[in-house]
Amino acid sequence: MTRRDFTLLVGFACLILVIPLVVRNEYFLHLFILAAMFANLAGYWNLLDGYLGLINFGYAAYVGIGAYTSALLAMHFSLPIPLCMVIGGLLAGIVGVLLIIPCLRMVTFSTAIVTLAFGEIARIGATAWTGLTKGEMGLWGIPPLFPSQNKLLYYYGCLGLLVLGALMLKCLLHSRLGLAVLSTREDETAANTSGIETNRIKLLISGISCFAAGVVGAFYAHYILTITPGLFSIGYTIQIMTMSMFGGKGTLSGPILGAFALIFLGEGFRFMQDYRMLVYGFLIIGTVMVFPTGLAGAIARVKQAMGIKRK
Amino acid sequence: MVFLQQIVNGLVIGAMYSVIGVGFTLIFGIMRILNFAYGEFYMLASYGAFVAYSALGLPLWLVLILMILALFGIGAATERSLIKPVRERSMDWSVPVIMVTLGLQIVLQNLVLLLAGGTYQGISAYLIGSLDLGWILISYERLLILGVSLGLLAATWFLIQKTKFGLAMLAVSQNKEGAILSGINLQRIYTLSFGLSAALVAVPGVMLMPLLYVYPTVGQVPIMKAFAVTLLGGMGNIQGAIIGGFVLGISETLASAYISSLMKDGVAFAFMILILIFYPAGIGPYLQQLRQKVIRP
Repeated sequence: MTRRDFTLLVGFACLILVIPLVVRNEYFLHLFILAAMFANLAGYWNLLDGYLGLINFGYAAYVGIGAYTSALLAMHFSLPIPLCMVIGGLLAGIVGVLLIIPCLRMVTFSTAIVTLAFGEIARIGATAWTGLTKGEMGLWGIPPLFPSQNKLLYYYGCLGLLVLGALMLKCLLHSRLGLAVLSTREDETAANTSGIETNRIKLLISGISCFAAGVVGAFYAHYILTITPGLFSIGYTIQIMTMSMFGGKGTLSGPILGAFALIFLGEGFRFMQDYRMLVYGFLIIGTVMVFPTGLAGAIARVKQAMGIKRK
Repeated sequence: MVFLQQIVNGLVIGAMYSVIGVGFTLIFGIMRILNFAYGEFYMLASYGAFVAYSALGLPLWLVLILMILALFGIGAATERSLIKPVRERSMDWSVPVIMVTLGLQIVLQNLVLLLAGGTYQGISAYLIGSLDLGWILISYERLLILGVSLGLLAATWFLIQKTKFGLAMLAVSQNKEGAILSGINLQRIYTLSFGLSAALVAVPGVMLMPLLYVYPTVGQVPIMKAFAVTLLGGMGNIQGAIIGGFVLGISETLASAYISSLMKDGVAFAFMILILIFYPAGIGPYLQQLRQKVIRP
């Protein structure tokens, strides 16, 4: 990171911190909170897909598990909410690891379909288990994370979560474990012969990634205060995946950029009304066909071109 | 008697699942890609059948042939225009192709939503009346579905096992480099088999239209079944997909009859995961092994 990059980063951070104090628009803040949550999810989905090469199509299910666990614990046992969030995340992580165990014996693609099937089972389960989850009616009356329903607190809360998540991801990837993850993606056989237990790496990374999904889901539950089984639907997984792809998979900043870009672009497209989703679909196709490396790749290319010009 | 009736119902629906699964697994076996727009091909065929049958008043056999041809064209065009550029660009095209087909799914769903509206449309049945065997009752419509799908499965089997094109497809799915060395035009096989896959799903699209109705997101139903059948039978295993379709159809019908209709899909998927824990490669290879043991004890 050069000095100029660092200045840019600090400037950007200051801007982000000041925005809500200047723009007193509740709806804008809400969008920002959503984008920050999705950025976290896309980042950890990218840890699985982009860095480890393991596709998880049931990702939304872990978000749902975290949300429901945390909400139910807070409602029935009135435990402190941060503790509930951590327990929700842990449960999601454990389920994530358990699901990957049978997948270890299959070819890569089966993992995609097994996790997709699991996502559907979880959604159906959440709908059918009305005694616990109230089914399609949804859970309501979840205790909020912060005593006052001030969006500003949630704004800084989710920003903190995003920064924490991104830092943890950075540390993880720059450690020995990160190298092991990358070598597992590049060549599993070679990694195994170099003494890396790739199966253990897959389980560990799945656990971490699903834990993050659970925590973000729990944050969502204590922010929105009502949750329905719709939270488990594959539509969310696809959205998370699109953000990670659109931003640039296998990069740290890509998924974050992608999440913010797509959330705000999606809102910007509102003037197109019925054509909005159509344009969204074309956008996905266009990105894959024209910018295979996503936004992060495009920015890197522009940066390079500028650098060459300056010299 | 109720149990037998359920088994027969399961067989009928399983036959359709087999066709859906074969089309999906075929593409996976040959090209190593998952086609997320597969359900949308079904949806297009369903809408086409609805328009051709109820608005234009064409006979069912003509509708079937028209839809098979149309979907073959759409499938081949999709491969040429969307999959080919992505495939040619990078070595690891599995995930980019998933993204492109996902984009296509969203585009097709919303295009149809704009053109036809989001309401459920459909006809009550192609054939009215039912066959009463005393111990079992089966409607002519379901008999027709069973007949058409069995015929289609037989035709597909013939195409793959007995024709030069089918053998070329098998060769590509077994060893890509070897197939190229034997003078097989890889691109041509890819395009044709993508078209074939879309043409296969056109038949369930037409036949199941009275049962499932048509609406822009109807494709979610068949694609979920396609995933389940593919996984059950082993990825890319056509025989496995045929058996897997029947297993899924029967287990689903039994689950909705004896457990809960709400849990129907859940039970099918749970069953699938259980099978995978014990036979991770799917039931297809296992059955082949079993058959070899029976033939050569």
